[in-house]
Amino acid sequence: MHDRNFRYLEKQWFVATAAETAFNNFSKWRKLKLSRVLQHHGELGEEPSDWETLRRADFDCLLTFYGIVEIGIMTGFIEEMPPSFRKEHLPLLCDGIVRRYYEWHYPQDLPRRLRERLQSGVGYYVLPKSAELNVAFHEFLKLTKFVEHDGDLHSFLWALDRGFRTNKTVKCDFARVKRGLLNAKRLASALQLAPEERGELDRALNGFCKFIQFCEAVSGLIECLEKTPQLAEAVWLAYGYWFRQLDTNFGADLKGAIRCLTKWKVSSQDTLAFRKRIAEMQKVLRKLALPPLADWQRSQTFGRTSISISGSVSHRVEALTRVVIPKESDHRQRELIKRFRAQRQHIKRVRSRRKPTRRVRSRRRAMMTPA
Amino acid sequence: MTGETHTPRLDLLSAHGAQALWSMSPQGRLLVFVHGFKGSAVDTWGGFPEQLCLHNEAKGYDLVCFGYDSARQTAGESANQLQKFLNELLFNTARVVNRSIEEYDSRLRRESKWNYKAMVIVGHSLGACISRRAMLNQLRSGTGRWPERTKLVWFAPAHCGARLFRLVTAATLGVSLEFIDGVAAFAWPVLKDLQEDSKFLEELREHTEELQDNTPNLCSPLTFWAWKDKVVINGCFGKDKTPFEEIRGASHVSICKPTGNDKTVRLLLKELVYA
Repeated sequence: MHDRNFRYLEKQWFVATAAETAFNNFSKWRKLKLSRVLQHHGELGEEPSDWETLRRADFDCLLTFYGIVEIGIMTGFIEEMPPSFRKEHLPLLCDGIVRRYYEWHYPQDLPRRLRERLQSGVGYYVLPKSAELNVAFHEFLKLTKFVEHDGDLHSFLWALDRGFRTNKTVKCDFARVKRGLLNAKRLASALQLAPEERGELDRALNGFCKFIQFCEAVSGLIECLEKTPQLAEAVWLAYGYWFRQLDTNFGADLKGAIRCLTKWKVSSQDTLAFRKRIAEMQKVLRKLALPPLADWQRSQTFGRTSISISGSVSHRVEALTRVVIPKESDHRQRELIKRFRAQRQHIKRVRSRRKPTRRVRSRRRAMMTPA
Repeated sequence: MTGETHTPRLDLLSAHGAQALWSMSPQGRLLVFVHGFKGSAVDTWGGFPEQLCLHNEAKGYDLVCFGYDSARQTAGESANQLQKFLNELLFNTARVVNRSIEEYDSRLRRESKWNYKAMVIVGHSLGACISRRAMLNQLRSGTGRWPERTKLVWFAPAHCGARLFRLVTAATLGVSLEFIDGVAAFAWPVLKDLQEDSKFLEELREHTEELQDNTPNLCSPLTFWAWKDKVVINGCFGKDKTPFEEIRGASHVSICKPTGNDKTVRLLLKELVYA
């Protein structure tokens, strides 16, 4: 009965996709070849070939699939994993080279959790099955499909990730995208072009609008999941590659892009609404820069502090007790924050070591785009 | 599955990504969502269809999100596309449904004679105009009687016209603006059809008034307006049931993305019971 849900995910995200290509390549390739393809860009010392970039992108798709399976299990959408899945996929998830790729070079928590789940049989959180969780899971699938397949979004993120593409001898990098955003007329003309008529800059400008919509949708979904913070965190982690960078130069650039909109001259009656909208966009990005558990924990801590200042002595004692002797869940949240900070530091270090860093999936789009 | 009542979203015949959530215990009822300008079958409604699936009232309904190129084809062309899509779905039901449902579980296949007894069309903004036009076209063509078994529900309908600049900025930037320095106007073909005095809207009103006495289903029993909606012109149309439901705190874009136990969900569910 429930096996069909797993098969549904497999059909949508694995069978006859790049993920399956990666899976097949893993069993075919020798270790040397695999380690070359899955090296960090910084380690290569040279630009990876197009072939390598494409094959690496296939592995990204496979890891996305694993992330989806992990969340599917958490929500109860998948109740029974076919035994063949463990047998076939665990060797790949446990392989040292692959692990180094998804645990160290480009940290992704969900494939790691799935590996541990398959290894030990113990789940982190398998939430009690409910219709609400199913709704959330489908919303998550929809957003993942959007972020994985939308060409405009990829163009924008590629520029934001310090990449550039050349379109008819014109170099399109983030500075150019920002100039485009400053000019409302340029943005308007980009929005009106049919997808097949768009140049690189047009795609990136369209992608900017879509990325804001995407962030708002993810933020909305996470808010809806406040009662199940484990799932909220997992959803955040699924897009962690982007959200972790919101506190780095990447995020600063993104906020800079949003600030470009403030230069537009709008009618006086709309000024307030427009400013409010821009503030809303920035608020969403601020929220997404931290994993939801950390964010909620922080706001709770602030809440307690205010109680201890204005409240009675007993409240103060209670607040202090809570700080001194953290509950188990607090401890876990601290661990998560600690891990998150370590990962962020790691990303910062890697980025500063060798610039520009490149995202593989975006490169794949770059190559597919006719110059 | 969504609470064991429906399949996950499955692809359906359509060039623009129509999707369906098929009921696991179908009762011959169909709910069709038609998005508005620059929307899509997937994004416009957020998790609205899935939210409905949580309720018993929607248990027997098949939910379909129709998709079309809302910006680059005229409203008339989009209406024609919707009419063709509905004809295909309603006259070859088992074939269309089974082709989609087999992707998930072939045990859920419907019998060859299985068909729909009632349909509810939910349209947002431009989607409302297109749905009504498709229904009028079907009535005027005299083929197929599905309009007589159809109920219409509107979210911020644009059938009294729209403020075009605001419509575009709301759909792209998420805020409706009347003017941006340097941008004169937008040139999508469909925008002409949504101008307050456009030929398309005039004909829509004329044909509705002509046919609504014989076909009361042309009049919507439930219309939602966003409070102080600056994008569309809120006004009466034909014999659509008044007073309209005003939703405070919702914008033109967010009105069709209700969550949980919003008033919109409750009222729509009520209509589903009596469809």
